[in-house]
This record gives sequence, C-alpha cells and structure tokens, in this order.
Amino acid sequence: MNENENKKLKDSVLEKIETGKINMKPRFYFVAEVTALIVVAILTLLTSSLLVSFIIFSLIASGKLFLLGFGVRGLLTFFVLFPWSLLIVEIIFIILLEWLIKKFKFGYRSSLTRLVFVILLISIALSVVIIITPFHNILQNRAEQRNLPIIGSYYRGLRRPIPDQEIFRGVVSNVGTSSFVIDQSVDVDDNEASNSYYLIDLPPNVPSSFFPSVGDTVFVAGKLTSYDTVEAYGIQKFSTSDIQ
Amino acid sequence: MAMSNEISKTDEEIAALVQKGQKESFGILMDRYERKLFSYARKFLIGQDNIEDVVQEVFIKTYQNIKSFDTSQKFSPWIYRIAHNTFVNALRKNAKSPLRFFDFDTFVAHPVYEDTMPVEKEQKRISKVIDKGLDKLSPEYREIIILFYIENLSYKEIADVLHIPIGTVSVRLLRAKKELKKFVPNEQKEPHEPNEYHE
Repeated sequence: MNENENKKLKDSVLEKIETGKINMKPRFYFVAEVTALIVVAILTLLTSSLLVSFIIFSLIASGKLFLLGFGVRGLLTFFVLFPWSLLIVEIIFIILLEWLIKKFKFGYRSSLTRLVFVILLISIALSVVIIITPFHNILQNRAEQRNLPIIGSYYRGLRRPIPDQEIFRGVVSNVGTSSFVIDQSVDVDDNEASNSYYLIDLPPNVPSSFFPSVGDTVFVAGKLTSYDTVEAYGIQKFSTSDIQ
Repeated sequence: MAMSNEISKTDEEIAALVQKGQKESFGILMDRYERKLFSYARKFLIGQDNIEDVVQEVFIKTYQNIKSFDTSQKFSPWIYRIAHNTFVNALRKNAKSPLRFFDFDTFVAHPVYEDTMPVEKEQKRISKVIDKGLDKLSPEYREIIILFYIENLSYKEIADVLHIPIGTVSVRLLRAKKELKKFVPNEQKEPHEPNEYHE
C-alpha cells in the first residue's frame, strides 16, 4: 500500500464523516441493544425454567414418575410416555440462551459445555423454586375449570388415564382381598372416557402395606384384560401434595 | 498544534475524543490502523480483489459504532473484532465452499498452552514459513496465525476478537502451526511441545 492509496482511503472516509454521509450511532442505541439482549435472555431463562418445572410437575401430577419404581416394564412405559416434545423445546431454549449469553464477554470466554452446564443448573434451580410454589397447581385447577386458554389442554390431560399405555388412575371406591375398584370420574374430569370404574387385580404376593383404602387416589400400571378389569403390575398411592 | 498533541495520545484517548464529537481525530486512528488492517485483510482474504473496499467498510463501521467502545478497555482488540466480522462476511460472500460455523474446540475448556520458545524467536521462525504456506490454510487457522504472529495480539485479545475461550485460542494456534508446517517441506523440524498452564 503506497502513501497515495493510504491518503485516498483516509480522505474518502473523513469526507463521508464531514458531509454527514456516515454518522455515529448514539450511545442510547447501544444501551437499548444491550438492555434488549439482557431482557430477552432473562425471559428465555424464565420460560426455560417454567418449561422444566412443567415437565417435572406433569410427571409428578400424572403419576408417570411412579413408573420408574415399577421395574423394567414400568421404565419402558416411562420412556414411551415421557414428554419428549417439551424436552426438545427446552433444548431449543437452552441453545437460544447459550447464543444470547455468548454475546457477552463472560459468555464467549467460557467453553460451551461449562456454559450449558451453568444454564441448566440455573434453569433447574429456578424450576425447583417454581415447583415448590402452588403456581402449576393453580394453573391446573383453572385448566380443569376450563378457565385457562392456550396452555389449558396441557394441564387437563395430566390426570387422564391412558389405557392404551396401561396407565390408570382414580379414587378407590371398594377394596377386596386381592383386588379393588377405582372410580376415575371422581379424580378426572374426562367426558371422553369410555369407562368410569375399573376392577384392579393385584399382582400375587403384594404386601398388605400396598393395599389402598377407600378414598385413596391411586396410580395403577397394568394390562386391561377385559372391558373393565386391569391386571396390575404396579400400584402407588398419591400423597396429598401430589394431587392438590 | 492540537493535532500534534493528539499524536502523543493513546488510541483509547483519541477514541474518547471522537466519541465527544472531535471527528477529525478519527483520522489519527485511521493512520494508526490502516496499514495493519490492510496487512490483516490481504493475508486473510487471499485472492480477493476488493480489499480496499472491505478495509474502508471496517473504518466506516468503527466510526458508526465508536460510542459503544468502552474507553477503559484496549482499542486494538475492539477494532480487530470489527475487522474480523467484516472480513468473515466478505469471505462468506465469495466463498466457494461453506465456511465452518461451528468449532468443536469451543465445546470443552482447554488448558492454555504457552510455547516455551521465546516469542520473538518463534515469530522469526514462523514468519519465514508464513508466506509459503499461509494461503493453503483454512480461514480460521490463517486468521489466528495472522493475529498472533503478524498483528502481535495476546491470547486474551485474540479471544476477544474471535469471541472464543482463551484455551481455544491456544489449541487453535497450535493446530494452525502444525498445519502450516505440513505445507512447508523445508521446515522439517517439528514444533516443540508447548508447556501447559492454567489461568
């Protein structure tokens, strides 16, 4: 590069500055940009935490989490019924958040794994706080009263039995020596259900502590052997806090 | 007289004057960085004939965004960051093959490798082979060699220019050197293993 070229470029840029063809962006523009970035990052983190808390809440409230204690068969059913689509949305949120944080010095100077780990940690911590509060229970009650638009269907479906996937739940109305009857209409507002009462046959050698009492809300995993009889391989009572 | 006083000022002080509206002081920053940016552009954008336009674009963006510059920080990594983004965009426009967007080296935290050889001696050694093999390197390797050996930026400054972790800078630099030596048959000597230290 010779001196003439140097002068030509410098003069050209300075002329554009002098004539007002190019101008400095005001400081306000950059402050607004950074503020918007921070707000979007916080909103994304909150949404991500809400989603994680909903995934955990849905597993607890629906009773699907009990499947993990029902042996290999329960574990397989758990994987089939896990809300994978919500998990994919959560992963997208994490990627978005990671991309937003990388705009800041502390973000791009961290490795990707460390950043994702920290985001996940914060997101899970926040989601635990949300779960401790009655936030999701309130939304679920509103959804069941048909008073929660858009996301209401996600909450309404939680207590619904899934006979095709061998999942039943309801309130115990009658107890026998090796079986009991559940009424799902008491626990679930489900007009589409074909049957309200199910006779639950207990697996052999079930300890008496597993036997529910009338009025208990139970989660049952088992095969539908006839129109209204279920051969259970796993039973768990809901605690009061689970069904609030 | 005022101009001669400004010449003794640091880049950051001059940038502060420009921010306050002293537009003509921008010319001093241009004088200081024009040669460096042309050199960076020529070596990074090998084979492109619009170098002057691209460098001009860097200065225009620098002026437009100068109020976002924090004068308590160093000016050179900031202007090199603008140059990097502008050059990468220029490469993308003319790229025959798609540029790599994702760097797997940013996945994990790498320790920072520091060469045991004195920097000046290493620079002399590398500068001998740069001209022979630089154009054969991929853009990301080419750029890190330019920033470290030609523009003399530190690892931290390069991390700020490329927006990557400092450990990734050292790993990429190490790989770039190895790659460079593959293309230079006379440079038989393998690069010695660097020491490892954690910040």
